[in-house]
Amino acid sequence: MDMARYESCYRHWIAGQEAGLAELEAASANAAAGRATDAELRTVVERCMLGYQDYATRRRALSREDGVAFFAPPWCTAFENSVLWLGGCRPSLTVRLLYNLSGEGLEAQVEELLGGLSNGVIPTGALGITSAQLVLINDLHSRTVHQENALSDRLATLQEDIADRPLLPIVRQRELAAAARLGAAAAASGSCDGAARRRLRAARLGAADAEVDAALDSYKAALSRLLVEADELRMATARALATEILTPRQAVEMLAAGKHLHLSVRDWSRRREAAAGAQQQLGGQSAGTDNTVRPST
Amino acid sequence: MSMAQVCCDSAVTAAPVAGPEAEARARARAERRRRAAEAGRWKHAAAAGTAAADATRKRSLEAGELLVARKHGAASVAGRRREMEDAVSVRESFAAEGDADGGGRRDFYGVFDGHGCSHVAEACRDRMHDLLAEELAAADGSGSAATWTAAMERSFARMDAEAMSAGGSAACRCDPHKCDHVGSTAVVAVVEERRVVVANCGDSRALLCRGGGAPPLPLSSDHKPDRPDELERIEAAGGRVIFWEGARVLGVLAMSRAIGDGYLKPYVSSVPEVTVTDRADADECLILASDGLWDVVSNEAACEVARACLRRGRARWCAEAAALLTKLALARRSSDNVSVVVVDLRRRDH
Repeated sequence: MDMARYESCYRHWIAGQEAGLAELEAASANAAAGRATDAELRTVVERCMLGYQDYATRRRALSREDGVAFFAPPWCTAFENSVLWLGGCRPSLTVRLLYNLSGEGLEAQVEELLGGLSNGVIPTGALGITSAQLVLINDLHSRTVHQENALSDRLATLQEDIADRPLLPIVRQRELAAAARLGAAAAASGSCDGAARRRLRAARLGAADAEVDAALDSYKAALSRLLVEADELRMATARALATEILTPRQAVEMLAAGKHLHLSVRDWSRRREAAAGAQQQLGGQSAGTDNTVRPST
Repeated sequence: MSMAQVCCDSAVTAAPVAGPEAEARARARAERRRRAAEAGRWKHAAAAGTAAADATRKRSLEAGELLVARKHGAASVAGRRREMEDAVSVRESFAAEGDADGGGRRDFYGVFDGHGCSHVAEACRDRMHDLLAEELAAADGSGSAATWTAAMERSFARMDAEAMSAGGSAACRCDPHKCDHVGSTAVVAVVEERRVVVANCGDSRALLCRGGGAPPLPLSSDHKPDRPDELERIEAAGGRVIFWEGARVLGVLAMSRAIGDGYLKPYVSSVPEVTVTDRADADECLILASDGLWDVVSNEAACEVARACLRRGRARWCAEAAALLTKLALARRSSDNVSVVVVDLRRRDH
């Protein structure tokens, strides 16, 4: 296990997110000022998609070594990990963010329409989502949720399967073997001997665990495959929205908002956990002082 | 409330309860017996009828599909829910008007908001118009309000029976043992040359927008368990309305009438309330929608939005109005599925 390389991959991804956000925000400002063509915006969107694809490709290679690490990454905060779905963001969340963004400004535009003050344009919100786009977004939402549920079900099956067989049979088998050996040893020594029991337990713990290793490796490999498919779904949903449904300007706004949310949540949760860590250290020092005052016997 | 208490209450109310509800239930039972007796013949006839109707039936409107047409428009989205349990049905010329009404055209519109799973709402979308067409064909040709009420009540009763006997399909995610906990609202409108007939069960809603500064005219009344007459009916039947994040029948369901929900029968009734409204020259449009819209948009606001879209003079104004109302519901943070149908009621000669 090479955790440093995995964390390096993640740091590279975060640096890419920050650079990408800056580029998207610049593109958004240019678009608002009328200085960016659709072709230019499309290029920015495509670079963002390539960044996601590059990250997914790196993860695919690394996760073959240790799929488990990506499901509960030690390089992320507990809060970040609590909102992960199969090692990354939940793809259907993208649609929720888009509904939120598409509502901005709509209320005011509707008020203008009702007051007869507008030029007769149908309100579409600041983002400008049309009726036709709403239908496509809803359809994508439905497909994405369906595929998410299928992958979540596979994880559930994987977790149930490994516990049910082979792990529990191995546990039961070894309990029975240990009990038998303990019985034999007791008979041989002619008495219940605590020392004999301790020796047997030590032997059990040190036994070669080829069976267990094989089971855990099989589980890790399956998690790795699941991560790859989850990344593919994340990519497919983001790409469908950014390049098939939304206009380049809309895609820039959505991608910028997504990156901004990701980086903000990361920063906020790191700040809180750093503060909690400092508090814990103070507590630890107090405990240390107590230990000094009353040395253990 | 213990189960024993529920049983005792049921026993106490075993005596026949006079009134429209009891009569409606008696009719529903008679209808179920008649259909059971004629099961084979009915199924064959239904199949034949369906085949004949295929040639003229318009394509049904699936969830999320925007059907763009001059006379009506609809929008239907899962919104902020992961599951889509709403269904919308648009069936133009689904049945011929009776002779007394001059043989004009009848269009069917329905919004069905499922709960517990989507299969009851989907069954309503697929079958309600057929059942109603059959009942209308069997009815006398007078076209009276009483005839319409009877036809609607029979259609809803048959739809309810079908929904409860069918259960879920293999594609359902609901627990097979809990199909009794699945149901749907049903707000149905039939638009004729001279009248609009609405039948409603549950808390979806139908609204008539009249021009000339007139306020919106509700054509349905929401069936909430704490509506005084509904509360009285439920308690008379031995049920209870418990307040748990709002009034709920047996603390479970936030509406007092629905298609399905066998588990909550007879407290949750499938008898619709029917209104028959004469059309007027000033009528602008009809709006049918699920509570994903009505929870966040008032009747007045909905009519104003539709009227503003109408004023723009575009051919697709109904579709624009339906989509805009849907987007407005999302912008106001509706947390439910949203389904909206807008029907142009303006006279053709205008």
